[in-house]
Amino acid sequence: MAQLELSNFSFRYQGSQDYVLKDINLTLKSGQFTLINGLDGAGKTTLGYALKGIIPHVFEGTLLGEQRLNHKVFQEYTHQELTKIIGYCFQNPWTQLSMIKSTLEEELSFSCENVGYALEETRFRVKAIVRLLDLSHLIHKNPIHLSLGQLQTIALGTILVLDPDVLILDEPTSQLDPLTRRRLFNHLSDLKKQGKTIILIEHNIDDFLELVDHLVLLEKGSILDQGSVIDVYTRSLSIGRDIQYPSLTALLSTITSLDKPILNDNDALTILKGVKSHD
Amino acid sequence: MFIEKIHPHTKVIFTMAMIFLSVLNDYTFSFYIIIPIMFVLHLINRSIQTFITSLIIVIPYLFMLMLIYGLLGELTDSNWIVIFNFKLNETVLIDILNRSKSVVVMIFMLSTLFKHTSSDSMLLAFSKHTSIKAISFIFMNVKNSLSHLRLRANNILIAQQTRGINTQGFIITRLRALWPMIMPLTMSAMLDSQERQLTLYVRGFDIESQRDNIETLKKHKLEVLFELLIVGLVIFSILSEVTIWLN
Ligand SMILES: Nc1ncnc2c1ncn2[C@@H]1O[C@H](COP(=O)(O)OP(=O)(O)OP(=O)(O)O)[C@@H](O)[C@H]1O
Ligand SMILES: [Mg+2]
Repeated sequence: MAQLELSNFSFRYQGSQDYVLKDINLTLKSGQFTLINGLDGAGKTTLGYALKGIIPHVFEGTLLGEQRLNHKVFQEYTHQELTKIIGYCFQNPWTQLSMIKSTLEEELSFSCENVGYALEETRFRVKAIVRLLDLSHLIHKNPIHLSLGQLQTIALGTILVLDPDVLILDEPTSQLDPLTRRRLFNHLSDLKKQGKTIILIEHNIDDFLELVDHLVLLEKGSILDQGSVIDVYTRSLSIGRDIQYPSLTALLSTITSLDKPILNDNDALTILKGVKSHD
Repeated sequence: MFIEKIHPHTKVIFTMAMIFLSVLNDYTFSFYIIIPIMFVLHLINRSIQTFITSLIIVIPYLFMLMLIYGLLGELTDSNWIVIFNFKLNETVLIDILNRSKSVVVMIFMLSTLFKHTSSDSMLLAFSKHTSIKAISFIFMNVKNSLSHLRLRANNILIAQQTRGINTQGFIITRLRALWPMIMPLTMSAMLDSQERQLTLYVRGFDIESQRDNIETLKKHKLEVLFELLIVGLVIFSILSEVTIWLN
C-alpha cells in the first residue's frame, strides 16, 4: 500500500507572481481517506496536481520542497510506476478521455496498453471494471456522446482498471445527480475497505464525510488546519473560523457508526434524542 | 468505402509520394494525372464530397494567385483588371499552375488522408515510434475535439432556443445567436490543448513501453506491393531527373 507526502512544498505557476501553494506539509497515510476542502481558488486542484506529479511534469513553475511516495521522492520512480500507483481523476471528465478512441472498451483498454499490460491481462481488467461500474450497456458506444454523469463514471473506470494504490479525485460529484453520487460513495467506500489511499477534493462535504479519516482545510494556498473531522470542526467552531461547515446530519454520521445511513435531519434528531436519553 | 480500410502506412506513403512527385514534375502531372486519379478514387469510394470540398478550397486559391499576379504587375504589359476580362495569356496561366501545383496536390491528398483515416488506426499504425505517436496524438485528437466543440456549440444553441432566442434560419441568424459564445468557445478550445497535455501524462500515454493493443491492424500483401511500387516510382523519378540534369 502507499503513503503520499508533501514536505515544505511550495509552487508558483510560471508567469504568475504569487505562490499558489505555500509551505505545505501533508502526510497521507496508507489506507487513509482524506478530504481536501477550501473555497474557490484556494489551490485544491493545484494540490491535487502536486500529489500526482502533474506538477512539475506538465506545469512549469517554481517548485520548492519535496513530493514523496512511500518515503522515496517522486524522481526515483519511473513514469510507468507512478502511473500504475497513483490514479488521478480530473475535475472535468472530458479531460480524462483520450479523444482518440472510438469506443468505451478501447478507452478503458487504453490505460492498460499504455502501462504495457499484455492483451490477456487488459481484457481481463476491462471486463472486471465494466462489471464493477455497471457499464456493459455502453461498452461499444463512443464516450464522446455520453452524458457528463456517465463520463464521470468512465473517468473513474479508466483509473480503477489499473488498480492503483492511491486515488486522487478532483470534485468528482459536481456533475452528478444524487443517485449517481450515492453510487460513487459506495464505490469509494468499497475502495477504502480494500485499503486504498484516497484523496478527495470536494466542495460538497456532506456526502462523503462519514468516510473521512483526515480533513485538510486549504485557504489561499496554505493549510489552515488538518486532522480528524471532529477535531478540525471543533477547533474551527471554538475560534469561530469563517469556513464551510457540514450539516448536522452529515456530522452525526461520522461520529456514530450506524448500520443504517442517516438520510435527513429528522433521522438525525431522533438519534440525537436517543443519545440524550441514554445519558 | 475502401479508402478507410487501406492501411495507414500505405496511405501516408502514397500521399507523401504524390506530393513529392508533384514538386518534381510540371503542372501536367498534378492537374492531368493526380487530380483525375483522386476524382476517380472518390467516385468509387462514394465520397465525392471530399473531392468537392478540396475543389472549393483550391479554386479561390488559384483566383487569389491570379489576383496577386495582377497586383504585383507580373502580367506583362497588362494590369490586374485584365484578369476580370479573362484576358489571361497562356504563359501566365501555366506559370500560375506550375507555382500552385504542389499546394493543390497537397490539399487533395491530405484532405483525403485525414478525412478517410480513423484516428485510432493512424495512431495504431505509428504507435511503435514514440515521437511520431505524440505528434499524431495531437493531430488526431483535433478531429474529436472539433466534434466535441460542435457538440458544445449545439448545446448552446439549444439552450438559447429554450430561452426564446431565434437560432433557426439563415446563417446570419445562427451566427448572431452564437456570437456571445464565440469567445468562451475559442477560449475553451485553446485551453483544450493544455488539457490534452494533462491527459497525455495522467493516462500514461507518453510512457515508453511495448504496447499490446486490443485493436489490430494487418497489412495485406497487395498493400505492401503497392507501397513498393510507389517507392520504386519515386526512386525512378529522382534517377531520371538526375540523369537529365547530368546530361
Ligand atoms: N495553469 C495556471 N497558471 C497560472 N495560474 C494558475 C493556473 N492554474 C491555476 N492557477 C491559479 O492558482 C490558483 C488556485 O487554483 P486552483 O485551480 O488550484 O484552485 P481550486 O481550489 O481548485 O479552485 P476551484 O474550487 O475553482 O476548482 C488560482 O488563483 C488560479 O488562478
Ligand atoms: Mg479545482
